[in-house]
Amino acid sequence: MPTPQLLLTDVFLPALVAAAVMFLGYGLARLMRVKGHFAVPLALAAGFCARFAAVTGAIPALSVLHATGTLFYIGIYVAILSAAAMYMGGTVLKSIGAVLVLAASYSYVLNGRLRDPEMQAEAIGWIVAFTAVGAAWCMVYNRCVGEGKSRFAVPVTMALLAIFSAILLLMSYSVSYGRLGLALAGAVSATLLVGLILKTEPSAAMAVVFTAVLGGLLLAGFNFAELKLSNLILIGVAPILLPLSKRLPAYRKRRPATQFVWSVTLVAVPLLVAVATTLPAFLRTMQEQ
Amino acid sequence: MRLNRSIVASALALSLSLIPAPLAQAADTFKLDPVHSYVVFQIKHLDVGNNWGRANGPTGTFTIDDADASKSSISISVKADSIDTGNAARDTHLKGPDFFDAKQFPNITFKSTAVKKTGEKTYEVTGDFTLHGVTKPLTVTLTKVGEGDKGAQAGGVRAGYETSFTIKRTDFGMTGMTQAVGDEVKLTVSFEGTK
Repeated sequence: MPTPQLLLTDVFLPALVAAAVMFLGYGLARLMRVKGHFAVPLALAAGFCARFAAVTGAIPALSVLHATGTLFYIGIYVAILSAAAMYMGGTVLKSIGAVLVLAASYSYVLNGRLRDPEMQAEAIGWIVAFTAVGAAWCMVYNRCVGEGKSRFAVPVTMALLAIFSAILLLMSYSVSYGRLGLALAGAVSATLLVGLILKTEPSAAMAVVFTAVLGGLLLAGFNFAELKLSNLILIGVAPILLPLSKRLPAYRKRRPATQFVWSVTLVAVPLLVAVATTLPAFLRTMQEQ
Repeated sequence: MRLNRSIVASALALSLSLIPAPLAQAADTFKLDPVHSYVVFQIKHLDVGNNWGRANGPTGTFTIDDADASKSSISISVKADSIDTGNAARDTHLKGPDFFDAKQFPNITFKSTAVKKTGEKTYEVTGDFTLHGVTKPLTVTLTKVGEGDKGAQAGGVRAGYETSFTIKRTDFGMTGMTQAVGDEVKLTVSFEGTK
């Protein structure tokens, strides 16, 4: 296992890079008198990719086909597309575009299996399933980000998802996927903190980048490492619980801060269950080693 | 006298034809015996000790033509999923994306492209070595260990060879955890084949 210092660097370095891109983007936007939301997906991708070489040993070649390397370019391509999409098209077109981008990203991750006639059908099944869940995540983020004072629950939820996914990937015999998950968590956290400092509204602009990259990591973790299906389901369900918290009678009567805690807690529950059920076996293995 | 000479010549020809042919005649192809073939590796751990492991059940064929070594060929394949270091948890980690990534790159292969005879029992074999989805040229010195007809119960004619060489795993894109696990991997491949 990597040292705690190394894992902390995996979080903080991407956070620094993402924060720098956020400040730069919003600064430029103010000069140009336009909305600076375009900086959010770019910052997220920049933060994630900044740690890539340190984790995997090298920046992958442009023609990369192995799953780990594809995540680097998924981050870059989807961030550019997301930033560009903010200035064009209507909601329907953006939604269709998001679904296509997610399907393309997940197909890129599983390209090797798609080329293998024996594994093709199964790979297509997973790509469809991940795209459907990813689209649901994006829908939830887009819906919740513009709602009330608990809107910051969206980026907090993303950070939680990335951290817990990273922990589960680390416990699934994949240090590299786990560390990349930490890098994503660092980048998401930075976009949230800088957003708070600059007093900008949380943006759903990073939803597709986040979903493409984290979904890709989880897809690779499940197919090529030892990420369990039960954990995959718990991670997949977690963000979908975010809008459900509002349906709870107790939620409506609470103050915004309490509502925020309720929302985040509800999302955290399946993630905690996943970690709690995986941890004992992982600790046993570590002791044996 | 002339008759006697022809009798002697005929007898000589007959006796020569009865002498058994050399065991490995030109272009005899052997099938690798996975039970008696080994791929063993050694790698540094935390820069303090050497860790050993093996890949089980190599398969393939080899043809060693002593008369014309250029007609020789070797093709060996082993499943990345067969990595065995004597610790199940470590093996699972080794087979995962940090190292062999066995689900993405299931086969480790060597296919010769040129064979040169360099000594009575040694050969210089050049070929394409594929590991972790990356193919690179590799030249090794192959030593013949032995050959003989061991009878039908032992698979008939059996020949054995061995080679040791070193590679850098990062050359093959296996770049995970280089601080903890060394880059240089020493390999010994010892194989037997039957025909």
